[in-house]
Amino acid sequence: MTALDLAGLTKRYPVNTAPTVQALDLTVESGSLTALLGPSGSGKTTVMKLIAGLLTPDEGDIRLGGQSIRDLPPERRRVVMVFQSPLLFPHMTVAENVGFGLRMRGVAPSQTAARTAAMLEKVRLTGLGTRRPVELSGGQQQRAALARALVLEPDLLLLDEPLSNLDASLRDEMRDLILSLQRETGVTTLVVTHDQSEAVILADRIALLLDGRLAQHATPDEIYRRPASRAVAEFFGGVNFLPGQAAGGVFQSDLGPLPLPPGHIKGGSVLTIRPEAIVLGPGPDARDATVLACTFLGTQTRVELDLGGTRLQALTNPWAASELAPGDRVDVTLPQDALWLLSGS
Amino acid sequence: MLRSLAAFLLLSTAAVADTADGEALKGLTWDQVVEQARGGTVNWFMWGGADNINQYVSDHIGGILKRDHGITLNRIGVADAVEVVNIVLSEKEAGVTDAGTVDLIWINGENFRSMKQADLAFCGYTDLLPNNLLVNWDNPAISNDFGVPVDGCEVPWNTVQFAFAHDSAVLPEPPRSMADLLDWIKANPGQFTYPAPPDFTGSVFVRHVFYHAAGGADALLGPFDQARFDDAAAKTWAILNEIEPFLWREGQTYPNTIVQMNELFANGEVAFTFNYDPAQFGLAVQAGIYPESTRSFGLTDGTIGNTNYTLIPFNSPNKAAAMVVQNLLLSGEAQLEKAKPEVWGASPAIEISRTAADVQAGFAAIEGHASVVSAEELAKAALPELQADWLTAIEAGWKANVGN
Amino acid sequence: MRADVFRLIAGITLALWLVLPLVPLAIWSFAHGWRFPDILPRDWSLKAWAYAFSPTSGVVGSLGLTLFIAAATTVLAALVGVPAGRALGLHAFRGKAIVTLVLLAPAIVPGIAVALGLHGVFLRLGLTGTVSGVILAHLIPVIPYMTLIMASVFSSFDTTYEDQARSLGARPHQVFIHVTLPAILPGLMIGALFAFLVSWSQYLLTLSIGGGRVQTLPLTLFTFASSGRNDVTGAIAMIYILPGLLVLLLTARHLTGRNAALTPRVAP
Repeated sequence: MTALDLAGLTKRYPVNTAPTVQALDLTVESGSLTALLGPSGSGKTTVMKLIAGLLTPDEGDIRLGGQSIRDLPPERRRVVMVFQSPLLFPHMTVAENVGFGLRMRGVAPSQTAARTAAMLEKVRLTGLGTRRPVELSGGQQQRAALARALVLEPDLLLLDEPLSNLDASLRDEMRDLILSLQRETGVTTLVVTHDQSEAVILADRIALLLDGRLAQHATPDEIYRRPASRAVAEFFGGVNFLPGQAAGGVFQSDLGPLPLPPGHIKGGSVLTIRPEAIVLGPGPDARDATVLACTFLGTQTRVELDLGGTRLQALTNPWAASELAPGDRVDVTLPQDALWLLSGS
Repeated sequence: MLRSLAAFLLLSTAAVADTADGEALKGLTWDQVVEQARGGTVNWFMWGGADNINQYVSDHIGGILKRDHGITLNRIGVADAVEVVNIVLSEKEAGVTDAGTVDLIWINGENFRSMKQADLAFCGYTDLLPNNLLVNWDNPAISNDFGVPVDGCEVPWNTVQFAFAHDSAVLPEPPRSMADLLDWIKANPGQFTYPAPPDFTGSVFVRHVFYHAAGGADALLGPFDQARFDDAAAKTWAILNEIEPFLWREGQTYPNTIVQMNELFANGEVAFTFNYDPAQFGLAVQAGIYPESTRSFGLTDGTIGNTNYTLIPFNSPNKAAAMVVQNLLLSGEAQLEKAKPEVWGASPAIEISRTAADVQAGFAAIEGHASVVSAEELAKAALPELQADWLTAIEAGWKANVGN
Repeated sequence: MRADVFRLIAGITLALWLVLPLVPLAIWSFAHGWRFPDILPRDWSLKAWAYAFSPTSGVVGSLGLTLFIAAATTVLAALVGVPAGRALGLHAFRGKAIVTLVLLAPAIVPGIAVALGLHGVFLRLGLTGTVSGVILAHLIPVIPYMTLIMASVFSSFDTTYEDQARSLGARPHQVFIHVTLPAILPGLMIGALFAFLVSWSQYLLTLSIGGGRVQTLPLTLFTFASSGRNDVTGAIAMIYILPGLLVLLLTARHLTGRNAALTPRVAP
């Protein structure tokens, strides 16, 4: 009903340069929480401003619930954007901030007060309505900013890096709040972030934007397990890429024939396996490898391996790797269901 | 509402009756002129530094004009008439020939010469004014404004004659001739000064010394003569340089304006001030600026007199109304009113003997201000003004030889 | 405690600094005869004040006119200076230094040169001797101040607040009134104060363009000051100074930045 459709959306910014956003097609399903993920400079904030109406697209269309909103001014789009910093208006109280949009729309003061109070309660700011924004903590400010947007009951909520400004301890709290409020209101939500972990923990679906183009749009799990390209895999921390050739369900590489998981019917010349999927230790399909280096990363240990000339990285739990030292021989298993054939090069 | 705001923003000069065409007015009878003038507005630019004069003009004259002729008199105070000459001049340069801002100016001397030479004055209409008959145009001091023939380009308003003022409580017996004054200055160091020319009043003091050095004014009248000038000027600079060390602050500096010198006199720093218009002494005493014991006097060898006038610029859009104002100013009643010391104390520019009997009685009944020497007293020894070329030569010479 | 004492001393010093020069003017305005070396006038009189408030003097009308011109100049200067300062303060563009210099030029060039150049132009446009002509002329020295002050205000202004307000449903004029204006208000007050006082004290341009027809208080004041009437000058000067002082006191609260809510906040 209020799904968002972007069709061929293009924006050159500044003018006469390569497009920041190029022919972007994207559908955000009604009621979903989709993350628009991409590295800095990938054009994701531009996409968000285009949707919010703060920028005008050069080409393409933006449809909300099937209706084009491309030519509507921001205040008539029923789209509300929450910026990365809370941007609470400093000369207004917290309650005045939350009621701002309602006042601008001419909602009666009594109704504004009631809806503001209810919203403050939902974001656990009850009793702080008369404070000035400077008197709130960073997390409280962020929640007030969220309340200020949600009180308007928008058709589409845009969140720009909602967790990136927060301390690690506040991130979980804020994530839970966003998820519960989104679930409660069912508002179609698009989160923009450069942080894949933020996208993964928040979103039902992730739209990965690389170089102004949509690289993959899928569930977090699917992007993780089945990246559409080497670039997608690399963005998600993929480091192991084996050259070779797929034929008849088997990938021929320097490691010899590797049987692909069932259903792999397409061709391809690069095989990837997540480092944490590699199993160290004896097993029926184990291979010989030499340890090149071990690096303790805090909760995991990265083990660099040499498999007869082919280098791979494995992530393992520190206890499993505690006995290993460079030069050691170790048994390594590449589980068949963790292998993924990339379509590109 | 919008229209009145627009009118305010533009301060519309367009009066009910636009009488910019002066030539057409000259062909009318006076009654027709008065009829044309009805409902007009007259913007009268004049020196505005005296509240008494302002009140006389705005309240007395303005009141009669409104009541009898439906004319609005808009008095615009300026610090110096030369500002007004410049307004009219720049309007002429810009081609504003019938919608000028100025309808009437209080003027004489240098400024009149400028306006006449640049054809900025409306001329040749004065015979139309009925009260023109009260003016004695045969008097050269009236028909010449600082030596420049008036030629029907302006209408006399006041006559003035230079006089000195002193505080009789401090100096009971002031010197009465130029020779005695010069001796007195040398005998009383630091008690005298005069404003540096080209200040209007300082310049006329220097001319008195010039007349004294030349042995009288007779040889100096008429057009400028370099030989006669050089002769008198050399003696004048010698006299002024001789008294310089005995002046206020040893003559190291001179007051820049008559206002500064008036202040020195008011504070008792110098023993004399002087003015072209002795009525100013009475006004200053009334305002509490000078002590009550202030008295004024002329010189036995004479003091210079002049006449000041009102003039209608060539591009005034309200000439008929401005003519009605001039005629009213000339009337015996208006001249009598301003002659009263409590009003202004200005000497009339008309012949009192030509006025109505009650006006004559009124003049006779005026008791002059104790501080103002009477016009009759001064008139016993009157000196004429020189032509403007002499004035500029004297002012330049003073700067080169005395004030350097 | 010590800070309070300091503030008190500073306040008294400021008050004295502002008020002391006015004392002789005030005395003069009531004096009837105040001659050297008297410490106080011999007699007191209300004549100067009576004259100042009489219809003849035109001081009351002048006061209204001067207020109107200064207020109109201020409003017009803000209408130009706020958008111009915004463009200058927010955007970097080629030739910005030149634009800034051109903007400053009328403030640097002597007033007499501006007045002379302007007079001919205004005369041909029929603007001499009109109130609107005088207001336009006052804008010439005022707009540069206003624009440069607003440029510095906007250079520390975060426009994403405006984007946020837009996205929350505010129309452009609502954004300006509810978000931009409160943020720039302290700077705008300073600019307006400058504009008001520059116009309020303008003599040369008023005389030249107004041609005596537009009789603002400085002109009336100068007429009397130059004729040596210290009593009337004193009374008019008091009337002339008071509104400026009032404006200064009213805006002092904003100038000192003690009203925290209105201090512009830079993005965190």
